[in-house]
Amino acid sequence: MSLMSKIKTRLIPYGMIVLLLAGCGVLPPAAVRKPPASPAPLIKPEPTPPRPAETAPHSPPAMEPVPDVPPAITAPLPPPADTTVQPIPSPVVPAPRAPAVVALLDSAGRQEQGGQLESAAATLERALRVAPRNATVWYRLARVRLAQGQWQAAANLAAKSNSLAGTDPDLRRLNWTLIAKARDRLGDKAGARAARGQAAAQ
Amino acid sequence: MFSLFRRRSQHKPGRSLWRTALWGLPIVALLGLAAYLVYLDKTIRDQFEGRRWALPAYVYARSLELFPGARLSADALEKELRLLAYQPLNGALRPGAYQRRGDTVRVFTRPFTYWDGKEPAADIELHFNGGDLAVLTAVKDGRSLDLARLDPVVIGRIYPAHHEDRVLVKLEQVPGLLRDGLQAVEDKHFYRHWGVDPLAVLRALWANLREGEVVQGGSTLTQQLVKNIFLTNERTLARKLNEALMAVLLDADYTKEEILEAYCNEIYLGQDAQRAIHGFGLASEFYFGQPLADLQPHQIALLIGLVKGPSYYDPRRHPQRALARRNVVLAVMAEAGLLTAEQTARARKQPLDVAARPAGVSNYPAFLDLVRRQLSSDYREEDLRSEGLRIFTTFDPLVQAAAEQAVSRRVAALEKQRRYKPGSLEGAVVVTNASGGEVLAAVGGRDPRFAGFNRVLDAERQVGSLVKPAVYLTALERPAKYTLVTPLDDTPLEIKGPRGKLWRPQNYDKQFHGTVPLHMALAQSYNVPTVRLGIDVGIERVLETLRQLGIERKIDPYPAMLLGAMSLTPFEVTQMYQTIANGGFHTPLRAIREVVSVQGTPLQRYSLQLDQAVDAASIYLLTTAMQEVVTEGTAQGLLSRLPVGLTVAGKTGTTDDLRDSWFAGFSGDRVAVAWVGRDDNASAGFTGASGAMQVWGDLFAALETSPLALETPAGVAWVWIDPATGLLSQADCEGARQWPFSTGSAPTESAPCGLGAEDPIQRSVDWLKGLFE
Repeated sequence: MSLMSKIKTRLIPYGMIVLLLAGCGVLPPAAVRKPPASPAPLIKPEPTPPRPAETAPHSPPAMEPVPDVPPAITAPLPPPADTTVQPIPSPVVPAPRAPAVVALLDSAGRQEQGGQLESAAATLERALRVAPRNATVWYRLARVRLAQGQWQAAANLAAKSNSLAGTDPDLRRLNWTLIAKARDRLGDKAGARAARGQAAAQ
Repeated sequence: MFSLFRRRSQHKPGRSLWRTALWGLPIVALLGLAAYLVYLDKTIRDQFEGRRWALPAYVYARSLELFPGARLSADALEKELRLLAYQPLNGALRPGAYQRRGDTVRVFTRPFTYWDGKEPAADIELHFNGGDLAVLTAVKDGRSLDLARLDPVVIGRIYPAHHEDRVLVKLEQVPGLLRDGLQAVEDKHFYRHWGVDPLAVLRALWANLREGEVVQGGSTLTQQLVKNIFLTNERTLARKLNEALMAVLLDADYTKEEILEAYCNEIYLGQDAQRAIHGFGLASEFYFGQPLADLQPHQIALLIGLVKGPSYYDPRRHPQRALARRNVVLAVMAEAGLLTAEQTARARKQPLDVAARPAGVSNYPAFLDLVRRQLSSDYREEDLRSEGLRIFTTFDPLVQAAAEQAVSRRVAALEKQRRYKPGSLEGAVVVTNASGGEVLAAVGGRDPRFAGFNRVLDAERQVGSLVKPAVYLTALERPAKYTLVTPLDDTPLEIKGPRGKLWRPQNYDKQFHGTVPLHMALAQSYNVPTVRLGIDVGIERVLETLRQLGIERKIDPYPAMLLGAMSLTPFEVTQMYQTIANGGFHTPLRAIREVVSVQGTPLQRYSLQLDQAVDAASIYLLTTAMQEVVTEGTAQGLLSRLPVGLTVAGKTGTTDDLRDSWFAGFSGDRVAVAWVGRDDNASAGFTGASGAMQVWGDLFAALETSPLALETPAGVAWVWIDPATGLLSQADCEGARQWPFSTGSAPTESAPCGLGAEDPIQRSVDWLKGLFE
């Protein structure tokens, strides 16, 4: 509001102010305090994550085919029947095809497509809280980190995915391929070759 | 002064000067007044526009995720809803209310702005099947939903130094009834006057003169705002005049809406110890534990009534006065046509509905302390205190409730059992999620509300046998030399200490067990074979393993460290076991997920970071042995406390003279460390199993958690072993058991049964020879 536009009110009859003096009534005790200090600069470092316009395209994400939720089943030997309590490998429960995970993967896919990579990462981390042992979600997070150029993080996440992928050859291949790319960018040529070898062996 | 000076000097100067003074005086006075007004106007605009309320940082818990298949009971959901002050209602729901019939709960969620955007309010229905959320549907159309979330619980605030607090509201967030009712009661001509209301003043003057005392105020909302923002409480003529001038100027410079919005955030409405309650947003929380948007007419009327005198009408201290005042406001509202007769009658019948006085700064001081410390590396203290940051954390109030109960009740019971002086025994617990390193709960002592010594972060205690997994892991990382069935020597041992002193480690049971397989030495927590093993693999290597597991503290490389002669906090121990539980992936423990500015702009995300610190195969072997700790070892007592089928792995820890009692362990998705002991470091009289493990057991019996179900990693195979000889066996041999081995490390020779034809005596002799070579 500009000062000029309100010039008219400068002509307020100040005389009436006197009338106010008699009208002191019950008022809340005002908190006694000083005028606020000059605005402090916000936040020391401000690594604001990139937040491009919130226009997620509604077209289905065209991404490399990812198995929905890998049936992470390895076949550990069955527990011996005779012994009493034994620390044996519990049968591995296949990751549930929870619709929540599918929904979150979809929405992360849309964010990825729209270039909102950090939002996609946040969505995938949310999916991991719902299904922490779902190897596909770990792979998808690795893929986002790779797209962000976080090579080491990408390779680490793909390794984590592999540790949960059981014998799923497709997912293992995707993970090793991703690790190879990340190692290339990290300058680890031998490591990249080894990873490519692993990918081919799946 | 000015006139006196003139008077004294009037003898000398001539007539013209006198005349100038005569005419000049009023001009000078007018000029002075004009200058003063300009000055005042500038002050107002500077203050008003540059006004930055010092806003406390808000710390939120995680938001509860609702989805089919979630491990969540109807009771747990209701607990969360109560923490969020959702109202149990019959009939029509509104945001912030719910309804429960047995295993079916209908919730109308509140809208909430998360780091990643807004989530609108949703009317949803949930069906539970025991401990699982089975079905989730939208009430509107019966469609099943994949996922929904509840707004997060506020778990604490980080206040500005002078204890200012506000819940800023925008004018459009203020209920219409509050806006209109406020004007009807305090300032009928708000939209018509110029900042002051001469008619109201005259009316007040007349009333006051008639009564011979001050009975009525003529202050407009604008004047009240000026008074709250700019002035002190002194009642002088000069102040009143100034206030009126400033109100007029404020009205000239700003729109009515701007003034009203500022008023709604500024007006003083109560006092909570040192904290002044300013604004309707905070007052709503302070008096009703609910957001402003959720308030009902009778609650709105009470808030408006408080404007007149928050202390005099304090609904907690003077409920009668407050009720009477509220009903006066309701009557004014009805008169003004803001409420129908029926609405008014219903509102008058309502009780005051005031919530219990909120606890101090936080109900969760130990966790909040952790949040502050993690934030302090990225934010300045003054920004935390005044910029209104919204901090989203990993805190899970349901896990915290279970952890608090486990600590408080069990520690009290242990104390009673030993007839200790009440209050002499203490405890602490940390709980994290296994894969993400998120801290879910932190209990810093048996009184979890007491914001004193935070044992989670600050109690540095000897860890005893909790260190052993690092020793065995170091060995298992050399599969060519060590497997789970490698025989270890448990016979008397003498070691030269750092100052040439002889050290003779003992087992806890003061016995020597001859030869024990490696897995059993860990499960039974035998000290002597552990020291031998540690010296054999190298103390420096064990320290390196500890570093890989996430222990950053410098530890002296003395042999005694192999038995835990080092001090760590429960938080540090949790970091170590986190890495084991996470399959060898090291994830720094995090308490914070995101930080958002007061405007809702994301500032920072603390993302999930991990790196593979230890290879998966070795961790898998170690974890198998740590499961044996629970099934057959020192933590056997735990089995009977846990629900059937909840497999866990862990380790007990006991220190010299029973000063410290520890248990660290994990299920499929939760890691927790419990400590019990005395602050004065005197003997508490408990082993790991008789003290901390009891707390841990109570906690895991109460948690919603999944069993530990590890996948056999690549490069590991399960092999049948004859326990007597440690050699290969077969499934149908008596007593044969399976153990996991890294590829190529399993024994190659077979025990008699496993082989069939070979001479059993010769095999045993060979085995014995192998042992002592």
